[in-house]
Amino acid sequence: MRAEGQQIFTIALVDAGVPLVNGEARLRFPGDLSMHLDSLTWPFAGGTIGASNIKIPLDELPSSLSVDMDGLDASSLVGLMDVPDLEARGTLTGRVPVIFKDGEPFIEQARIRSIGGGSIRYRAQGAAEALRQSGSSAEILADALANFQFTDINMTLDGPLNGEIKARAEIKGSNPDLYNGKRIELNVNLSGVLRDLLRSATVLNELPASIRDRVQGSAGNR
Amino acid sequence: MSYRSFPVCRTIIPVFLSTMIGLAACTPTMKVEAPDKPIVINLNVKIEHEVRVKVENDLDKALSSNPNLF
Repeated sequence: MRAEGQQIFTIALVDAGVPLVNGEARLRFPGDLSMHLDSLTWPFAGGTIGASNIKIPLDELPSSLSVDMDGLDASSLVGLMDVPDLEARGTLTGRVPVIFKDGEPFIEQARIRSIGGGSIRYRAQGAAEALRQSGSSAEILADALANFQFTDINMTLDGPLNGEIKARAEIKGSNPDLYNGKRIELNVNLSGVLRDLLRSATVLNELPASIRDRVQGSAGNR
Repeated sequence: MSYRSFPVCRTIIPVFLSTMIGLAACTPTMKVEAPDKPIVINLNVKIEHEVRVKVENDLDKALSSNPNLF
């Protein structure tokens, strides 16, 4: 396949665990059974998500690619997760390298970090009460999360995209209302099938109705 | 007559003064400060999404068999 110059495609929907809509791909077909992806971007959570500068063989999967996240709004991300009483403010950026082994995608040493500071507020009465009754550390955590002002968030992710992913988040900051604003370091080790979590119907709230019907059709068959 | 006339005074007063100066120099100061180290909270979370799917499926079945439930 060969085409003159850069070709621009719009992509209505890609279901990548999280449905991505209104994407744009800028491609070139140099005529050597490959396509060159100059850029691929979707608007997502107030920022963009995508990849750039990848040569993809037309007859097989690429061995690796990197997904770039830029300017993701923490408030929008929390809105997608639809966790009651959870609020967040701040901006996240990062890179998620994906390698393919036997056709299966694996996230390898992804890094996501905050740009500047922000806040996390979790004020679910029931959950906070349960944490308080779980011990002193959990009590401090519940109190800290009531109004946590972070200075840095650093996250890493590893694991199969379709299987159990291990994530670690280091969140540094303080709660000005707790221990005179003493510094707190929150280290969270997270494991689980994130793809299934992201596929949950709550994510679909942000989609236009016509696309939502299509996605819910396929998700509903699980 | 000056105090230097008394040999005892000539010895005791300098010793007393030097002891007081020494004590003043060694007076301990106590300062209460919160430790500089941050509070570190480690948290392990395992996402058990299957539980939620199961509950949703069970709820679907219950609603299907009892359409007038709500």
